[in-house]
Amino acid sequence: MKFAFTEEQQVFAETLSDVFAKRCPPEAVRACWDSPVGYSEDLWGTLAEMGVLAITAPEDAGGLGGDERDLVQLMEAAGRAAAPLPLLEHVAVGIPALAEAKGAAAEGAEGAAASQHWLSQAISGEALVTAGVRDKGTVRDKGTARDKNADSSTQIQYVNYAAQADVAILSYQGELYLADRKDYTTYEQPSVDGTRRIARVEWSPDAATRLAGVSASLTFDRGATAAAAYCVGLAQHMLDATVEYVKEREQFGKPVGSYQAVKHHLADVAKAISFARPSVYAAAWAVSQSAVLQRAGSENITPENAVSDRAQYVSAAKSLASDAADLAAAKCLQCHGAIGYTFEHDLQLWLKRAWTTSVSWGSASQHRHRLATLLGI
Amino acid sequence: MDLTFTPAEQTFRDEIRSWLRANTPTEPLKSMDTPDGFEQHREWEKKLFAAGWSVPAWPEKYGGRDCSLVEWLLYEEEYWASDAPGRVSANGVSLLAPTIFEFATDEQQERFLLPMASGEEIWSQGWSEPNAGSDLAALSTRAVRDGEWFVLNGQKTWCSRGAFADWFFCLVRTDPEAERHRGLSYLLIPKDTEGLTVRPVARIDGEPGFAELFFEDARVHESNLLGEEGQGWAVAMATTGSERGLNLRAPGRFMAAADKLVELGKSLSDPALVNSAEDATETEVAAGTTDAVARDEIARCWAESRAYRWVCYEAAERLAGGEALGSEASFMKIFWSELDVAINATALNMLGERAEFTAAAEDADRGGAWMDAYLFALSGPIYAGTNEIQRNIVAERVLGLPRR
Repeated sequence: MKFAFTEEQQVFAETLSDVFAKRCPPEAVRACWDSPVGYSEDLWGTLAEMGVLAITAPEDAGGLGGDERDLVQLMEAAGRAAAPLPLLEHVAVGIPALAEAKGAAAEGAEGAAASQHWLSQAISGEALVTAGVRDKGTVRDKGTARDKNADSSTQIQYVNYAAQADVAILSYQGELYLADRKDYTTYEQPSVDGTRRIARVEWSPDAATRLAGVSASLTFDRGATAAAAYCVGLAQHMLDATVEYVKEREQFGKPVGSYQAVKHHLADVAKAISFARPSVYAAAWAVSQSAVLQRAGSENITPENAVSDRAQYVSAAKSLASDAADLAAAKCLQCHGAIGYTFEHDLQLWLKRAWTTSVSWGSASQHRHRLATLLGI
Repeated sequence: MDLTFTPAEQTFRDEIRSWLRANTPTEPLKSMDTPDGFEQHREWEKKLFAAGWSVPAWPEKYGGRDCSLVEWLLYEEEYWASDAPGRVSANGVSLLAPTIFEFATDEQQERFLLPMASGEEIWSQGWSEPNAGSDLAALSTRAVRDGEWFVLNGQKTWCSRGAFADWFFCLVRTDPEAERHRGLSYLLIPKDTEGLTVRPVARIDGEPGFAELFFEDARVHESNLLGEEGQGWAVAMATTGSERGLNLRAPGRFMAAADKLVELGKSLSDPALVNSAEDATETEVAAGTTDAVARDEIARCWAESRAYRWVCYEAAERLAGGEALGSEASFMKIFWSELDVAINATALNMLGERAEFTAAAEDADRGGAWMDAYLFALSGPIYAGTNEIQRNIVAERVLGLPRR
């Protein structure tokens, strides 16, 4: 039993925190609202040069061979900065799925060959990968036909960065597909969070582009774990900023942070974060182990058990982390009062990221629904 | 990061698991807050001690196994998963003992630890007073020096297990002139002290789980002073660290409770309970149901029980690495006490009209254990410093908000 991160992982996380502090201050987040792609291509380029995009890619594909344990603190640091970057879609979900598809290339499917091409482009940052993956028990993955009169094979899905990406990993009925930008149509759906680039994607699943050998459920869990880590970071920043604010802001002749009602709000936020964080780290560990088992076949644990355990860890973590982010958003807005309700104040940048991240890749109650099912209820 | 247990840890776990399987009483013991039940629980403590399982984290010379914190957490997981009896010695073993290890003289350690580990001497805490609850430092029980003796006058209250306990660990005022936190001392007091009257007080469940202590010129020898005279507050705060943090309520207890809640949820969503369409509604109500809200609550309780588990393993690792736990222990106390209430409230909600049944009711689920556990859980947010006090501590000492 060992919980601590390696020194290398710690240094990496601290380095990235510094990069975000310098390169992604609130003004930069705000600037992304008006950018066509929704994120800073300049900062993305820096991360690519630093090798950040290569973390989750296998060494034999030119990556760093890391896993979710190497990634989880990076996602948390990105959340603290409310960094609007496609880290989740591209690094946490896209690249591992492409790598697994490439591993299955021996099967000769078209999807496998294409994924080899996209993997190297994704690692270098030349291409952007996005992902829209559903899993049973969270959002129902029955596929949604566009409308009754249209071609019934056309599916719709809402995917972040779909219009900006070069290639998308999409799910349909428990299988993953690799869709080139030219193979799907996007209709941008403006989000409450101006840094999100959500589009309605219309596409037709094509058996030739199916990613054989890649588990949709594991891929979904990668996204949910990364989103959970991001939620913890968002909540931590909102708490820190609000603590500073209520120490300064005076009413009735003393800091509002000296009043018990305010203290108890913030103590509850601090508690929610402290209890979500280790569960998110445990989920990252479980996902990394599950991936290893999946690659190597199983030794001690049956694959079914490994999948169930992993999904339990992930759904527990995402429900706790989403709740922590939602609680932090609600309480921190309340403790700021009217100033926090303005567009000018930076708090709204984090609030909106929290509202959107807490419900993406499964909301808290959707993950509890999935967890209850996994527990056999 | 590797959350698998080492072979040594697994061996340890297997050992306690098989001992419990062979030795846990098949019939539940009577309530430890009844005279018979108290003695039954004392006998169980003696059995644990004889096998070396009453205090595994203590040094061997006091009956322990010197096990690591991770092993202790595993021990607690196995203990509660096995449905073994509650620990009547918990106040001594979990609250007083850490303080004895830190502050007691060698003579005191020799005198007190072994009988505590073996269940021969069961301890109760005498801190609260009628006018000193959350504001503990307002306590007024006086202890006046008379040579080698302290002469006590005053009243203690809400002493858990006090009705049948053998010893009390008390906080008393030795210097009324000093600043209120500085005039206190920590005394260990036997129940047969002349001038001490112990009056049992029924708790909410009707059993004498509490006692009041009345001191009328009661004499306590200075050899029973724990730590320095006038240092009682500092000594006591070391105890509250244990009380609020890892020692008193390990996650295993709540993991086991959440697992039982999952089982209840499964059993009440079993379609076999419903015999036919006509009597479906009637049968469901009588037997209880796992509706969508209950399902959500069960999953929340289960996730939180595991969250507490990971928090504790992570904390244990830092403690083993020489770091102190400090005020974050207050997080843990809020968390487990509110989780405990939620687990049992969720069960009672599902049980519907069977929820109110006591152990005497033939149709009670698990022998009325849910209502018993609920009543016990309700004390959690109050004792060991109310959760409001804990939230103040978190806000002021962890977040750094101004005291006033």
